[in-house]
Amino acid sequence: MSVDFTADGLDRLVVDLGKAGRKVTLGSAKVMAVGARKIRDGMREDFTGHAHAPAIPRAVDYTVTGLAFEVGVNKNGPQGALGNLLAFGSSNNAAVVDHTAAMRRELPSLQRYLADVAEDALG
Amino acid sequence: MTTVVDLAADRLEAMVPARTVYRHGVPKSPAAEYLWVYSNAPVFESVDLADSRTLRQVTLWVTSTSRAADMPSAMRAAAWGAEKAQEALRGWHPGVGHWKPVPLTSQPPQPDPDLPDASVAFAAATWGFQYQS
Repeated sequence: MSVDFTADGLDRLVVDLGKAGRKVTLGSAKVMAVGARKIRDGMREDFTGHAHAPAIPRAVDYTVTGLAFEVGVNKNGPQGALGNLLAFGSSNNAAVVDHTAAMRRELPSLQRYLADVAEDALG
Repeated sequence: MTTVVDLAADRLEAMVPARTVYRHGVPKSPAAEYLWVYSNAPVFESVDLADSRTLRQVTLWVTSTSRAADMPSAMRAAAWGAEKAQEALRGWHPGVGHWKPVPLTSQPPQPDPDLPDASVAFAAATWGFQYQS
């Protein structure tokens, strides 16, 4: 028993995928930038309302390296040095902020939009 | 009721016998070297349009603390405890409730800011647990 198949159209697919790569990169960068801003805003909300660190939400920001976004408390920002204490606690005081919550809230949307970008690029 | 804190603490007690494991809080006179496990309340999320299935998410904090004669020794011991805790939880699937632990973030050992006059260091890590019902 054998299976016959043909490579007709494969050259065209290779070209399409080549073009898609650029579209995916550009589209992903936009999606990631929007996602990073939403995570930053969500993290600012999560860090809001703490009596001893009223200014710390303004220290939450993000940095960009290619398609990698790092969102967190900037130690050089207002009351930024308190970020670790709020997020990780100490030897006998519990953390008061779940600094990963904003990221996890945004992740499903981020994944959906990135999938849309890939689909559109191949469309 | 078994909580994710109990499940993780049981695991740590079994896998890191060199450390006392505290659940939820630390007593006033703790052991010289200990692991402390606590969590936030579960966050519920619907995972289908009919709201018939829910995803529970819990963040677990694991703190490794050491009190020693000097700060370098305390830092080293806190790091050791944190590393052993990571090894115990990484890839672990608790038998109850299908909780799936995922490492989220960690902080290297550092002097405890609450106890500036003592050689106490702690390292902390957070883990995400998900349970779908």
